[in-house]
Amino acid sequence: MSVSKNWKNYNQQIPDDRYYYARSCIRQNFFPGSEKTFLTILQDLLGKDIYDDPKHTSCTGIAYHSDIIPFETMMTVVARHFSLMTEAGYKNLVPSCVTSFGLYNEVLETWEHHPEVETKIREMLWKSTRREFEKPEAIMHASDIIYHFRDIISDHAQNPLINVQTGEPLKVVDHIGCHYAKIFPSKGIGGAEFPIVLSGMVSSWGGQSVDYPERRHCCGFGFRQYLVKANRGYSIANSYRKFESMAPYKPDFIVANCPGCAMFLDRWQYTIGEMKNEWFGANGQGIPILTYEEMAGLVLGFDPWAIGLQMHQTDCEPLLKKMGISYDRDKKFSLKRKTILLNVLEEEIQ
Amino acid sequence: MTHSFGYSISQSRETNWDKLDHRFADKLLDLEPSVRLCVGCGSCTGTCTAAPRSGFDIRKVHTRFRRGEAGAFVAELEKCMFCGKCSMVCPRGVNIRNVMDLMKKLIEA
Amino acid sequence: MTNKQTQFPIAVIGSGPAGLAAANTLLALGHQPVIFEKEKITGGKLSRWHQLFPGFISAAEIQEQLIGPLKKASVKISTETEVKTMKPDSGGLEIETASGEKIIAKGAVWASGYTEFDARRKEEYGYGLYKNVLTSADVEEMLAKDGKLPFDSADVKRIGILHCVGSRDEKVGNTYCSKVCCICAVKQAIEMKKLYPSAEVFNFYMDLRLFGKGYEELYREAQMDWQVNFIRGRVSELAEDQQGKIRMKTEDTLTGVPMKMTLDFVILMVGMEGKRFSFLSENKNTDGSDFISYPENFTGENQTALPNVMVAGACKGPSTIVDAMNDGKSAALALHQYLISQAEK
Ligand SMILES: Cc1cc2nc3c(=O)[nH]c(=O)nc-3n(C[C@H](O)[C@H](O)[C@H](O)COP(=O)(O)OP(=O)(O)OC[C@H]3O[C@@H](n4cnc5c(N)ncnc54)[C@H](O)[C@@H]3O)c2cc1C
Ligand code: SF4
Ligand code: SF4
Ligand code: SF4
Repeated sequence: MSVSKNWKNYNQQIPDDRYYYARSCIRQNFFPGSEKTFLTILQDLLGKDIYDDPKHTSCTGIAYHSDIIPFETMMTVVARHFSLMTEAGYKNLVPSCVTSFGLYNEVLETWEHHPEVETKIREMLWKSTRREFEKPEAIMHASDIIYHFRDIISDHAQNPLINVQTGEPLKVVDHIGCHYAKIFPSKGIGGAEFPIVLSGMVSSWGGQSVDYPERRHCCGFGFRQYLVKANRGYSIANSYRKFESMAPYKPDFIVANCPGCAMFLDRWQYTIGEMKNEWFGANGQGIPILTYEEMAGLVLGFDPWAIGLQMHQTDCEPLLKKMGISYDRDKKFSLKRKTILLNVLEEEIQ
Repeated sequence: MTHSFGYSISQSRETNWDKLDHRFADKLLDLEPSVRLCVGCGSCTGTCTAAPRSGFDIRKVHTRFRRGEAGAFVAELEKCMFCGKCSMVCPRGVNIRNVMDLMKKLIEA
Repeated sequence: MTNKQTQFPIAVIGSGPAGLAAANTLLALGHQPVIFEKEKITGGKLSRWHQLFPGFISAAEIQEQLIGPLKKASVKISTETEVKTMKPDSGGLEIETASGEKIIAKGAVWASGYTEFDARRKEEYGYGLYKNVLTSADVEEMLAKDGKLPFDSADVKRIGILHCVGSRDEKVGNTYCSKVCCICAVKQAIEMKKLYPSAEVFNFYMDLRLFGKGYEELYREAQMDWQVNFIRGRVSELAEDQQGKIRMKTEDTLTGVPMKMTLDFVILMVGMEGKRFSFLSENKNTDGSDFISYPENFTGENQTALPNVMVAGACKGPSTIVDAMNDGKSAALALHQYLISQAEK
C-alpha cells in the first residue's frame, strides 16, 4: 500500500544516452513524421545513441486491451522485445507508444510479484524462438526523453511557441495518454496527478500551458470503445467532452503524447463537426493537434511537411501562420519528399 | 447540413446541477420541509407496499426529485398506493406520504 | 519526596488545549509546571480557530479560561522553544531543546498535538493552484481574523464543503478517520449560510461521523434551519473554470448517478496527521498512522516508554478539544500518581 506522497516520487531518473527505440505499430500510419522527427532530434541534434531496430514488432497492446489475445501471449511477445534489446546491447527501453509503455511496465511488475510467471514466459520464449533476454534497466516513454532534453531543444529553437502576430505566448492545452499517466503514474514524469511532461516542454519553448477542467479525461480512444461500432458513440462522446471543456480557453493547439490520443482528438473533431456542425477552434475550424515530436520539430525549424503535418485532418496551417513558419502549400501533398527532412536538418544544425 | 456516420454522440446521464430545473424541488421543500431531514437510510423503501413487486423506490424517487430531476418519474409515481407505511417508519420524521402526494400534484400542475 | 527532586519543575510540552489543561491540573495538584511551546504564540490550534463546535463558543474565550489561571500563578511559558528529545536523568528527566539547551525536570506531560494534512498532496482538488479552494483551517483563521471570507456575497451562489480530505484515503497514506472534520464541516456549513444567506451549501461526504453530544442535533439544525444539502459521495475531482469557479465531480450515491456542479468556492475539510517520537514509543500504530502510539489498554493510556513522561491530546490520534483537555488532565493526574509512588519508595 506504499503511497506516493508527493511529486518527487513521480519524477523518475532518465538515463542520458544509449536508448533502444520501440516504435509504435499504429503511429506510422497516423502521423508518420513523428517518430522520424524524434530519431532525428536525438541522433542529429543531441548526438545520442538510439537504436531503431527493424526486427521490432507491435507490442500487441491494442489486441491485449481489447481482450483479443491472452496475457501470456502478450508477455511472450514483450519478452521477445527484451531479447532483441539484449541482443543489440542496450538496457534503456524507449517505447514510442504510451500503451507499450504501460504494457512493458505491467509485464515487469507482474514478474516482480510472480517470479514463476517470468520463468514460464522465459520457457515459452525459448521454446518458440530459442531466445533469451535480460530485463531492461530503465523504461521511459519517448516523451520523457524530450522532456529531459527540453532545455537543450529550447537553446536551438528557431520558432518558439509564440504568436508572431501578437507577440504573446501560444496557448497550449495538453492531453496525456491514460496508458502513460494512469496505469503506472509514478513511472512517468508527473503521472496524471502532476501532469508536467508536456506542459514542461510547452513552457520551456515559450508557450503558455493552459489547464482546463477535463484535462485528465480520456481522449475517447479507449480501444474497446471505438473498435466496436456499437460503442463508437461512447468514444466520440468522451472526445466531445474534452473539446467542450477546452474550447472556451481558445487554445492555439493541443499537444498529446499518445499515438491514439493525437489521432482521435484530430479525427473526431472533424467527425463531430460533420455530425453536429460544431467546430471548436476559431473561424469555424478545429483546434490543431500536434504530437510532442511534431511540436519539437516545428520549434526546431523543421519543414512542416517533412514532419508530416499534411496528414492531419484538422488543418495545422492556421497554427503555422501564427508561429510565422513559412511553408510551401504546393508541396503539401507531394510524394517526393524523402530528402527534405535531412536537408533541412543539416542546414539548421550546421 | 450534418452527416451521419452510422453512430451518434452518446448523451451523458450524469446529474448536471447547473442545468437542471430546481423549481419543483424548491416548491416541494417549501411545502414539506421535513424532507430536508432525510438521511437516505432506506427504511421507507424497505417497508413500502409497492416496492417489492413494482421496483418502485420511494427513497430514490424523492431524492432525485429533490435533485431537480422531477420529470423523469411521472410513471414511477403512479406505483404508490398511498398506504402511508413509509411515513410510519421514517427515523427522521419525514412525512413521505405527503411528499409523494406533493410530487404528483406538482408534476400534474 | 527528596529535596533534590522537588527543586525541579514538571515540564509540559505544547501549549494547546491538552498541554494547557495538563498545566492547570498540575498547578491544582500543587506542582510548578513550566510550558515549552515551539511556536511564537501559545494556545496551539485554539489560537487559530474562530468559534468551536458544537456550541459556537469563541476559541479565544476558551484559551483565556485556560491561560488565565496559569498567568496568575506565574507559570512560565517558554515560547519559540521546541523540545527535541528527552532522556532519563538522575534528577528525573533531561529535556533537550532544538537550540541545544538542556533542562532537568521531574517529569513531563507531552502534548505536541497534530498537524493539518497538507491539502496540496490531494492534487485533484487543486489546493494552492485554484484560488477558490480553501481548507477548513484557512476558513477558521480568516473568520477569526476578520469575521469574513474574501468572496463578495453577490458572487457567491454555491459553496461546496468536502469531507475526508487527507483522511480515510489510502491514496495519501492515511486510512484512519480524523474524527472531528464531519462535525466541523457541519459547523462551517452553518457559518457559510450565516455569511452568505442566499447561497446554497453542499456537503459531500462518505459517511457522516457525528459521534459527540449535540453533534447529531447540529446536523439536523443544519438541514432544517439552514437548508444545508448533504450529498453522499466523495468528490473525485475539482477543476477551475475560466471565471475561477470550481467544477466538481462526484457520484450522488443515493441516486446512483454521477453528478457535476459548478461551485463558487470550496472548503476542504483537512484531516489530522501525527508525528512519531522514538523516545516516547517505538511501537507502530495499528492504523499505520504516525501519531504517538500508547498502550491501548483502558487504564494506562497516557503512558510512554519513559515512566515519568505522560502523553496527552491529539498527538495520540484525532481528538476534539474536550477530548484533548480531558486527556491532558488525565495525564497530569497519572504523572502526579507516579511521582507520589516514587517518593514513597
Ligand atoms: C479546522 C479544524 C477545526 C477544529 N475545530 C474544533 C472545534 O470547533 N472544537 C473542537 O473541540 N475541536 C476542534 N478541532 C480539533 C482541535 O483542533 C484539536 O482537538 C486540538 O487542537 C487538540 O489539542 P492539542 O493540545 O492536543 O494539540 P494542538 O492544538 O495541536 O497543540 C499542540 C501544541 O504543541 C506545540 N508543539 C508541538 N511539538 C512541539 C515540540 N516538540 N516542542 C514544543 N511545542 C510543541 C504546537 O506548536 C502546538 O502549539 C478542530 C480541528 C480542525 C482541523
Ligand atoms: S405510501 Fe406509497 S411510498 Fe409510502 S409505503 Fe405506501 S406505497 Fe410505498
Ligand atoms: S425513511 Fe426517512 S430518512 Fe430514511 S430514506 Fe426514507 S425519508 Fe429518508
Ligand atoms: S470525521 Fe468525517 S470528514 Fe473527518 S475523516 Fe471522519 S468521516 Fe471523514
